[in-house]
Amino acid sequence: MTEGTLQNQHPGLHGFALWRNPILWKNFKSRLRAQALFQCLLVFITSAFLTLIIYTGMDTFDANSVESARAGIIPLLIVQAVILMLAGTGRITSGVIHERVTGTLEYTRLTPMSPMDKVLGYLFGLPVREYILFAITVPFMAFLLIKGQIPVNVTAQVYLVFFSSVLLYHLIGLVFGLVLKEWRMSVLLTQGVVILINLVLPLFSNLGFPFLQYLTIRPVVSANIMPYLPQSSAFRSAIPEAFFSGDVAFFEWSISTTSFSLLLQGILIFTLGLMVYRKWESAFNHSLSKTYALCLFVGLQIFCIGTLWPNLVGNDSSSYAQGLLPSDFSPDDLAFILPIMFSIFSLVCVFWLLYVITPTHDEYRSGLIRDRKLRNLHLPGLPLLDDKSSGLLSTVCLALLTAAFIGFVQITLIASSGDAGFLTASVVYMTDYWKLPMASVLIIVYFYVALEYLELQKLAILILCLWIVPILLGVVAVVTFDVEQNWAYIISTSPIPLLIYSGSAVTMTEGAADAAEYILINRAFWFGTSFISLTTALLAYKLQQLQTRARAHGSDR
Amino acid sequence: MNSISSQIATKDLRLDYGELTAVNNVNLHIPAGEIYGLVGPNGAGKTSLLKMLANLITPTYGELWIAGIDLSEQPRSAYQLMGYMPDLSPVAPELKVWEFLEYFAASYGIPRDKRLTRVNECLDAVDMTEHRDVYGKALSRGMTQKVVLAKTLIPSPKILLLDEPASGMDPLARINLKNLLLELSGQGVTTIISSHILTELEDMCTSIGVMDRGKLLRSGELRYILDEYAVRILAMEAIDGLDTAERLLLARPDVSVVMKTGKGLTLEFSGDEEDEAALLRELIIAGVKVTSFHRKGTRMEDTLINLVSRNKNSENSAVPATGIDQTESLL
Repeated sequence: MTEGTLQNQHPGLHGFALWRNPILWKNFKSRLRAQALFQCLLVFITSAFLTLIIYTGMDTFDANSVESARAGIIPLLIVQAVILMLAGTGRITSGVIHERVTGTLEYTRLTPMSPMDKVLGYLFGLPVREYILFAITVPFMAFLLIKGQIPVNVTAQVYLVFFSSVLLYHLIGLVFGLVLKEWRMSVLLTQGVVILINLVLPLFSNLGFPFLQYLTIRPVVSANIMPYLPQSSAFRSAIPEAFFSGDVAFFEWSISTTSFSLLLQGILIFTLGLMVYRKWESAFNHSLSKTYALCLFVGLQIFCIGTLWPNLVGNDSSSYAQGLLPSDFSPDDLAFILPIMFSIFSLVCVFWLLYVITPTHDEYRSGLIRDRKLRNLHLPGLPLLDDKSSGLLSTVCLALLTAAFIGFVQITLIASSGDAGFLTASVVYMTDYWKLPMASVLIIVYFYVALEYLELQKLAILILCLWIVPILLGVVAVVTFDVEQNWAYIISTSPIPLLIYSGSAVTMTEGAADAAEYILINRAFWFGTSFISLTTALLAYKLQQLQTRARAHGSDR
Repeated sequence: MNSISSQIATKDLRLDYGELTAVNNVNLHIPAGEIYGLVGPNGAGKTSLLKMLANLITPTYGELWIAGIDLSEQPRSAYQLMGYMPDLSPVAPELKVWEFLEYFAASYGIPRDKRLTRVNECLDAVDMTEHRDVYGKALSRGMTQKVVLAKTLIPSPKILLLDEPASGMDPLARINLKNLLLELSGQGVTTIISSHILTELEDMCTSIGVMDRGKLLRSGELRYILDEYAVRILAMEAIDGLDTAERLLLARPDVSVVMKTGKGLTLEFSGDEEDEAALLRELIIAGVKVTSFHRKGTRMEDTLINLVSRNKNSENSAVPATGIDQTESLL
């Protein structure tokens, strides 16, 4: 054997030079063999058939070649979306899991390629066959776009968002592949998530989260392509004319659908890319740093409030957040539903971020060792926001930010009551407006302390026992024993009902403050708050004991 | 500093899986060119130790240096020097053998024009040249091991971490592996090899470490450890009193097996040299007319058993009053 072929080389400096990426080339070899020919032929035949049948068919009956070509655009776009968004995403997840099962992922981890090489290699390498299949459809789409006289800037906008969505879904697939274990199930799950994003998330517009629909290409297609479709097109009649406007109301601004979609998707692509990069950098890293998690939370809150803004200030209360209200709802009902929905969204974000950034017991202990090592070298100790530092500081920041954003939503609504806005004067019971932010803070601290002390598996048991069972018990109590009053107390020990109680109190009219219902809700709120506070205090005490023991033990070593 | 002069060094290395301590305060100092055999029963912590050295698992405590590089600080620099071959390692089934190896050649930054030469060299080293166009999925267990070994050799690593590399290999391939490791050792490559096939380690290792229940019981040059802990095969001949000798030997705790061989006896003896002399004296005092008494050899398997059983005995007899193990797992 010759000696030291490698010793003085500098690998891993391919960066964005994708054509030199070893992972990409490996996938070129393994995924573009003769077996791919069948799929290529299938896609070619399908695209050709679709194009010809729609174009020539309509051309024959309507004798208008421009409209005939336009009618074929959406079906072919769906084919392209299925290839890249569904098949490509599934391929990425299954490919990563396959590499893990066959050991290649572990081997690759130990090569000196840079994390960026690994991210880009897997992101563009695993779905390489799907990109080729997509390329086969391009001439047909180009034919339809040219014949249909669709302006270049319209095409460019649609495909910008199309590829941005593809990248987003592929990154989701990559994250799932690195996290999930079971092969076939993970493919179905990832493809399910893509379908969910495209078909279910847009429905959340009706629940107060209109910005979620911009994770898909639907708004951009509606705004840019739909106006060009023939009046008789089934696709055109399926979308309300309101969607053709092409602008998104964001605070007081009006942003084009394309820009808004690219902005939102860009933030998420960057976040997911960062998660994968950090995992490739070191398998022991958290997916997100604590600092980035805080910034991301602020970004998501601003996006959510920005798109809720027309509802909050009453400029356009008919557009969103109607899904939970009866058809004959009054604008005042929004004052009840919006803050609660916003709080639930905020808490879901916080729970996810806390799950990502809170250290496990082993990580915390390892952080203590590293802290001591740094101090022994006369360097500053472990930063407070390091992956292995306790999650307390970031939790406090997240809780305070949540309270501030919820408070902002409420204050904005209060400002819209009376003569100044669209709500009636008496709808907001001013003295109770602090309850919702306070309950949110309490629930966040409760979740964090339980997570850091119990870790994930035991936390799941706690959530089942103390979050879900009280709700079920309350329902059983009402149905079986007809205990009309006491069920409120049982249910209030679960955080989500507590949140609803705290929100309900805000929207009581002043005149109803003495009513039995208000008194019951108020008492249940305080009962639930006391129970959760005591549970949190107990868990915090146990966590503090545990960490003290770890510190004392660590200093002996 | 030892950690700098050694190719592989660890300090107070420990790995906990919840309540279980898989590796317990291991200190290693392995110089360049050494072939270090890591032996121990199943669950001793060998694979966990190798995975920590490969930076696939982060230690709970302790520090690791590879060629003087702190693994926790500069892992990528260390990757360039290391070749790790895991136990029961598969090969990408969808790739041909040469494609699999070329991928790693590219990953380690070997220039395009030199990759195939390097791939062929490594295939040749493990005697797999004729199978270069076979798909990974068509390889037998032994051939897979050979291909993974070839992959490990691709970057010409200065440090080899081999976890049970010979499992599934035929005898010829094992001899090949031994010769290859000896050749690499001559070039200054440091190897840690864990194996259950101890006789093979005996032939190639310059030093060994014996692990049991996460602890490194003994570590050092092979011949010293064999001398100190080996079960010796002793042979004696006598013209009279063989029955008395057999009875006397069987009564001793340091004699495990006694076999009659014509005019003499062969026995397995776990005592040291002093005990050996005392045994001979005892036989003569008992009236056995000994004409020959000599050592026939040592067995590495028995050395391992001897060390592990001594460890178990000492742990069982230790008073757990301080409860160190229990308090060590605090979180």
